[in-house]
Amino acid sequence: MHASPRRELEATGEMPDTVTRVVGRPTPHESARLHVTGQARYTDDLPLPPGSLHGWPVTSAHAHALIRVVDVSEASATPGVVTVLTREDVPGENNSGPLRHDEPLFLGAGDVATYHGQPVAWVLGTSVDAARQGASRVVVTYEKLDAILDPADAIRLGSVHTDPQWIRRGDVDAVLAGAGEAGHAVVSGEFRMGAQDHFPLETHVSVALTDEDGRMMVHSSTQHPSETQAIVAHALGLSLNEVVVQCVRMGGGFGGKETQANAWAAVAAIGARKTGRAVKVRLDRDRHMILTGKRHPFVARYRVVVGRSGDLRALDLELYADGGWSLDLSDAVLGRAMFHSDNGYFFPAMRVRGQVLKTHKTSQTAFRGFGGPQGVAVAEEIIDCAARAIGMDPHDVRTRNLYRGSGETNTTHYGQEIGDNRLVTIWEGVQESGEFISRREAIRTANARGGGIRRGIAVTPVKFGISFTTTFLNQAGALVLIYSDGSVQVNHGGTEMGQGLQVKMAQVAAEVLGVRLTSIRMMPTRTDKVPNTSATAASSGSDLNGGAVRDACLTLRGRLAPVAAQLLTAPGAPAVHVDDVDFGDGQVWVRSRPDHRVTFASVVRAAYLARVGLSSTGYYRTPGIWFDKASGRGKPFHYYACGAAIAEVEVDGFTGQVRVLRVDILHDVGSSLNPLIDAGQVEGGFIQGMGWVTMEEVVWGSDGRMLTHAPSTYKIPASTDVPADWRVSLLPRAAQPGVIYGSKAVGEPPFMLGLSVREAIRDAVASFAPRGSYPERVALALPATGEAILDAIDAVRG
Amino acid sequence: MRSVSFLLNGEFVDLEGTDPHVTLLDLVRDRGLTGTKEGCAEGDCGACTVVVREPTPSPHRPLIETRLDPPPLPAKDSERPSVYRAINGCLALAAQLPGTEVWTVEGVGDTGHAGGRAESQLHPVQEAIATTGGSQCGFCTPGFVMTMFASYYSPLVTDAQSVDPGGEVLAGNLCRCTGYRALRSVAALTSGAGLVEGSEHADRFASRLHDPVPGAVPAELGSAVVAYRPSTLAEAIARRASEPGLRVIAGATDVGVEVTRGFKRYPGILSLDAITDPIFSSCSRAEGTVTIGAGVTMTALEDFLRDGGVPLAGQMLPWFASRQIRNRATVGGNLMTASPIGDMSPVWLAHDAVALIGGLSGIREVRVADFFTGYRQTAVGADELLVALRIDDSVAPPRGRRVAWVRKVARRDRVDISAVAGAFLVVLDDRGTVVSARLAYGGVAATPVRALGAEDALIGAVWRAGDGGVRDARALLGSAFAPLSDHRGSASYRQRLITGLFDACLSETGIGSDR
Repeated sequence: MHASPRRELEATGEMPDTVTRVVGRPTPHESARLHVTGQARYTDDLPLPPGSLHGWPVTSAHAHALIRVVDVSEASATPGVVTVLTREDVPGENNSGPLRHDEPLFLGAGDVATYHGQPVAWVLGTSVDAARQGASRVVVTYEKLDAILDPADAIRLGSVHTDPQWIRRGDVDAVLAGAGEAGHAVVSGEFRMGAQDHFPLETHVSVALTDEDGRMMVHSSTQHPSETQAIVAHALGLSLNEVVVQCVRMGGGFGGKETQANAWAAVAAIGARKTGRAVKVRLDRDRHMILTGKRHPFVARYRVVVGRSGDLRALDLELYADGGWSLDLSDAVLGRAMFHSDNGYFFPAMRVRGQVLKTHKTSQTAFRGFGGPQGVAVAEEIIDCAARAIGMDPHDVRTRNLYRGSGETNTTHYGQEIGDNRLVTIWEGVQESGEFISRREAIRTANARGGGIRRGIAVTPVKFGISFTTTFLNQAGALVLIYSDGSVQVNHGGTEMGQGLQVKMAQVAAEVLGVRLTSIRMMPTRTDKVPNTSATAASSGSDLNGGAVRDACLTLRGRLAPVAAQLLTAPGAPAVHVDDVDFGDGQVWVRSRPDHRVTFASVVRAAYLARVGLSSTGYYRTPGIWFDKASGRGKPFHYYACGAAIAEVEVDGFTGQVRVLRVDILHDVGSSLNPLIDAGQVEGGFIQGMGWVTMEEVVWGSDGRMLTHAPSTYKIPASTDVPADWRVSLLPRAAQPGVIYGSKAVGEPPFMLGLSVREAIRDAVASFAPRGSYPERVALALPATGEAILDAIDAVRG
Repeated sequence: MRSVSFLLNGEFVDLEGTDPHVTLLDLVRDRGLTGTKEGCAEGDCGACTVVVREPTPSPHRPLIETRLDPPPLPAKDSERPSVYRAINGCLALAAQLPGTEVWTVEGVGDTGHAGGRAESQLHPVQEAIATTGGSQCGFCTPGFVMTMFASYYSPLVTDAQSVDPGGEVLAGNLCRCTGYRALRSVAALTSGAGLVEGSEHADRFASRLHDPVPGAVPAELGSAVVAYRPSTLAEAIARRASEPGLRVIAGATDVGVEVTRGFKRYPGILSLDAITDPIFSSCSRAEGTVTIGAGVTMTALEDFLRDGGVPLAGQMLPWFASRQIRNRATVGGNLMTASPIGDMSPVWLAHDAVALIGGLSGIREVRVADFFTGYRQTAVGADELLVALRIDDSVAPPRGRRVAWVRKVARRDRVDISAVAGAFLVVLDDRGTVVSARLAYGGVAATPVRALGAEDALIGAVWRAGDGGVRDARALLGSAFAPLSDHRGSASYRQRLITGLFDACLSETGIGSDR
């Protein structure tokens, strides 16, 4: 192993090293070899004990209906059916609501079904086929009720989950009132965004096995094992220490397994409790998409005041998150949307009112960005509409209003000073390297020649706040075990869903302990190793768990150093001081005599014989963050992750089809823990964001039935949809103070770079306006499907 | 009943008594080979991709309708007797497994390549994906590995005209994590690499291409449910006539979805994939007439058309589903589903193809224009089988030209069902005047359909926007159909696409256009 280049470790002043050996290297995913050989095991791949059962749901046939009767008699008599789980089989609480207890697991007579596809009962069979056939024979009698599906109807009817949240800055009303006199334009509008399905390639799956004494072991594809543990325990009427949840890895999560995995784990556990047999509940793709929540559709209503030279003066914004049938995490999702409805722009006066709507659809949930993308999309929509209304290029309005400087112009609407603002650097950097100005000129010239095929280009920024906005969640634990041969097991509370958390944590542990990566084994995430963990979410995995792993490893290294000092002290020579001992590459040496080395394993062996403890917990909590929801002010974020993307597209005016020709991205990941992993996060996030704003459209029928519940009807980007010319750069010399090895969170922020594609499409659409005219408005739906693009073109053609 | 088996990663697997509905995906997973994943069970995501070794499509033999024994033709020098094909394990039914050779991700690591690192046991495509960031969550990865494994030994990909070879190879595999950059690079770099002279003999998979070729065994499979798999067309027609309740399958890419997502179970299955009659199982060209067997896969048709002819088919095929599906789906099966969209149906309509339908009393002919008798209904009787398509592929008049233009409009370019698809074949004389025109559409009515009124209006018009006859035709298109609204698009969108496709075609091909 070679040492990596010298790095500044601004983040970790207490580290003795100034050079990292493992951290910062482009190291492949910890399971990459297992992935490519098919040896990586997912929950569905675990061998089941003999006699295991499989569950299949009986689902509501209506979006909103009173249940009269649930008749399971015929189902129970189906060959291969062992039992039908109903409301009466729940030993504890019949609920899986993570915050508000508004999600019944089972519905019985007198209960109300609140979305189409909601589970009523679960059939357990000796095979999936038997359970499914049994489920088709459960007879549920309904009394149909009126369903609310359109968020606009929910607003009109006052169908809500929550009271409004507010964030206020300055006197918006005064600016609005004085706008006419001051010569400012007031632009208002409504903007709606559709849902997005997470579409992890691995669908939801849980396996429950009864332990001795009715205790429960659950294997679950969950981003939040501790919450899954709690929901299972509550459903069974057990205490938390009686339930163990393990997640070995997930085949993709994206937020869709933060709360949405819990119910299936609970159903499996209830089934295992009732039958004494192992129970697997795996949703097939259709059930996965019909039963589980999506990214929230939003409705935004706004009034923006803009000066004639493009200076933003005030924004009055109402945000409605369509939460679906239950609350889930919608209030926090809405909150993050409100925090991000400025994106990277300074509004001197701003008022945001937000509320979660209740509709008879799936319960919308966490999804990469967690409301942030909707907030950012609203900001970009408003910029575009404001700019065109005053006849300016939206690009110039973006440039003019970026947060900059210090003090008020670099402070968000909720009062957090952005501090080290890298937005302008990135904004200018990506335009220079991406030759934005010259390309835009070439496109303008080409479009002026007319024709049915036009091009468009746009740059959009992202500024994304890092930390759970619920402050107490920003903590993490770890447990590191060193065995007497010098090999190491690392446990922490984070889960692996493909984001490369495990390899980053292995790098951190190897760095601190001074061992090679091959000496580290990353263990599956289990609630009996680290308790009370937070979800692996909010891009926080590396920041929080990295801090905890590092803490545990520092403790152990502190214990090993005196042992090593003794081993390295030559007979008769003065004792080596512990501070002079250095660890690296599986060896330990004295700094002044680097040629004299002993192996890490020999130090560990000596420590064991000297009765030194070789395991340690570690703990981390994010310092200095707070938020007061009542006043809408605080410092909810530890720092911001920023980036910008230029997208160039070609739009077919005959059909509305679009091709993404070139994308340039410059993104800030601090001093990357692992540039290979981080580049993958930027690329994957961008494409997922591009999918959200272009082809991915969740469609509910007028009866509330999900019409897009398989990849045949719901299209995520394919290999042929990525930009033909795609240039991704990480911001250089970008160490972030106060974060593990100067790195930055990367999971969510790049998602929002996909919005550049939407704005580029809008730029192309605008060129279809009659020759010589500049459209005052280019209305483009989100997602911008081919049909939406053709609608937009027709509108600007007049 | 004789013993039936197939070869899985080099070992024989007995299929005796297996329910013919069982999918290859379930079969391998139940044997503990859990590397192959179920992502959707409908052939859209590719997580279940496995590879089969099959005979190379037979050399193109001239003529066939009279069923004379054709003289054997020498194989092209470059051709190997067999090829590796990626297929969707979730749609391959046990009924069609006997005699096949299947490879899963667990079986391809050890290439026996002398240059490989002995301890690694990784195939070159596995190594490349693992080291370049090609996997994140890893769930889709085995499917990508197998798609690239097939393309590693495939000469087809290296001569693709595509500007995006990496993307094309992978269009049948979805990844939600990576954004495909690394995967596309690996695919572009490794496609065809296994056939490079010199490496071939060191790699046991490349040399295996010269081994005796596995073939479909005409064995009956099943216990309670029987799957018949005749080797001749005559047997198949006789079976069809005597047991009309059998579900007929060819590539099973559509019926497979009925089984996996619709949970259908049939009283019996009649599989046509072992039929060897050339008229059914191969393509031929003679005197300007092209005959395409109903049992020919889309991939084999692509291969046949690589030398030209039937231009709309050649243009549409790359947009037809994914490589995995094209490796199984047949020309006949696609027509028999009678989808209102169908991708290839507008192509056959525009080429005015003739369907050859076989029954006990022989073969009768029905124009494809008369083939679709209603929504999901065809002219093929309950005791008949579609045997082949015949196309008059004569070219344009002297100094004239033939405009052949297709377009699918869907949410996504690849592996998606169109809102509207168009296939236009317009013959122009030397002055650019329309001699004949066939404008066929999918997605605008209960069946794929031609716009006859607009076609008539075009005769004698000069093929450019603004010509009176062309304007008349366009106006007629605006009211020719009454499309429906669904989740793929509104009626209004479809209506605009009907004329939009016509406009797009004119702008690209019309007299004086610069394209």
